[in-house]
Amino acid sequence: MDILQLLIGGIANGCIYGLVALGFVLIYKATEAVNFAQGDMMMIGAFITLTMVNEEWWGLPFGIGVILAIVIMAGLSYLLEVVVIRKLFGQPQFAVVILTIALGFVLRFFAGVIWGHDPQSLETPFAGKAFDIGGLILGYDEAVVIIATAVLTISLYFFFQRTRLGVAMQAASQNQLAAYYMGIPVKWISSMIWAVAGVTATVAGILFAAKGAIDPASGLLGIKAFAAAVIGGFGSLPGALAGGLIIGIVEPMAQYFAPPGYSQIMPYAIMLIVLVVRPNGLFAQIQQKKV
Amino acid sequence: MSRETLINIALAAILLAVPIWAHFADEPFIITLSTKVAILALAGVGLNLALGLGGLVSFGHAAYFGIGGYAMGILASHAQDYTPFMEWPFVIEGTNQMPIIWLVAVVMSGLAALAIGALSLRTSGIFFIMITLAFGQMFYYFAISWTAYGGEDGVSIYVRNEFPGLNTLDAIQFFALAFTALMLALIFSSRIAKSRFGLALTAARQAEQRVETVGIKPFQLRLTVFVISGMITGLAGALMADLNRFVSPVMLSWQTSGEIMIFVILGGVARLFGPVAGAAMFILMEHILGGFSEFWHGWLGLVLLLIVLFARGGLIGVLAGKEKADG
Repeated sequence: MDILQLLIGGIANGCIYGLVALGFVLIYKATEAVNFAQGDMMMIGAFITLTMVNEEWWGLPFGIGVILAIVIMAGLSYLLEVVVIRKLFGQPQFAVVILTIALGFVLRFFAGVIWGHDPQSLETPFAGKAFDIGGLILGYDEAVVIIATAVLTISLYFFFQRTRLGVAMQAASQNQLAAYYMGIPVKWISSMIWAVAGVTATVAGILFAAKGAIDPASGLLGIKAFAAAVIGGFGSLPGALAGGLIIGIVEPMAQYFAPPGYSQIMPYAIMLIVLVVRPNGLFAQIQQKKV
Repeated sequence: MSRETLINIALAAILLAVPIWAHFADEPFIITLSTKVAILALAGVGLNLALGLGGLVSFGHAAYFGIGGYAMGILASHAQDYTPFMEWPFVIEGTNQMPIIWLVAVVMSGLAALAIGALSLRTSGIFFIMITLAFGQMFYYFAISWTAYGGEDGVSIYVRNEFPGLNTLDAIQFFALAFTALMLALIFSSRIAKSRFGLALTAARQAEQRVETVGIKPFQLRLTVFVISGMITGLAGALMADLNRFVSPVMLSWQTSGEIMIFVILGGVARLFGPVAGAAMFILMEHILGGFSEFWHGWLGLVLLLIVLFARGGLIGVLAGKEKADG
């Protein structure tokens, strides 16, 4: 029973890692840029939602606040690509890495100035309640995390398979030049990809803040999500989600079974094993693309 | 003499002159800051060999920095407690002699770099960044759970270690040691860059296939430079531990890796004195901005953004202009 309980918590955490990892992969696939600020975007998204929804701030209805926050974050991420990231086109990869690390510093700084450094919880309609299934406790918040992740993943799937924009994004990420020749506005597509990554980050942030509490340093969990993305192969969206789930599940298990301290090593240990055994990740999709 | 050489000489002269002035003006804190600059610059010189010359974006150099630091912490703590480091199969005592500690630090970080490099150099691009990061994190969490040496709290050493013929407790004499190490590393790394080995590495960075075609194996070149790079950063770690008389897992964290990379980027990637300029700027900012806000990283972030966006050669690039015929 204990193990099942751990499994539920692990899956819920894993969903959040997976959503952040999804953002990494989206951006990497489309632009070959690595966004080290993805975790911090998650944090900012969570804080914006919190400002909309919590009583002490604006106290908007939960649904409206969430939608507004998602729209705002999509816009901000779009602008970020246009104003900052695009300037780095053609520079070595680590320039983008450093740029986004710097961006993370800046975002954390502003979050600290605006919202303070104490952890805050998002007020949600589903806080504090739980299903009791034969002794197994499934919190509403955990259920919401899992359902929301599933819904978002399925909608992303349909977005990429069925909509014009989604298919154009796929084309641009597979071969930019060819996509450009086909008349796809590649630059605009890159900005839109950032916007989509901003949306997934915000959803992850909302779920994170609803399940626990958010503070400006929470974005650092991005580094774990990064490991998730690498485990999944960095080019594969289902892989990112799977990587997130693996890390999310293994963490509490290791905490339970392994000596103290080792649970933190696990995400990296798994990542190392995967990288050594399958250097392109579990769900490798990039075969020819050499950076 | 090119403009960059002049700037390099000026930088070295400033780094030497400031603590000497501080010594006579009785400002020990400034000497400590200068020592910190010299040591961090040394760590940066190490990374710059891998990053600038080899084109290897290592996001795990904190591992070598920390290994150097722990080499000092472990040896010195045993010397301090008069307990042997190990008794079986033969007795190894701790020591408080810097030359021995440095040797151990360099060898251990070199071995770590050899093992990590051999595995991670099989990958490239983003996977290389991540695998080096992963190794760094493993060392970090290992150090946290290593209760024999303080776990998360680290190890404190009460008296700075000794160097034959010097009084290392005198701030200016310890600075002299760090400064000499930095200058030697700079001379060494400029020699490497101009050697056949360095030229082959540059070629491998720019056109891997061509280098392979003429019969040079890029893997071996990269592994060699990666190990040298790790050794230099490891030496810096041992010095840093001695400056603070304290080692903790923070030295191994990925933020430290990021900071070492920031020195290099602030100053200018692949520029000989880039890490010196970068570390000096970093410490100055930390000191000045940290004074009125403990969250000075936000400002550092802004400066970094500006440098990456508008000054591609870093500080040295701004001062000395573009490097000629050597991209």
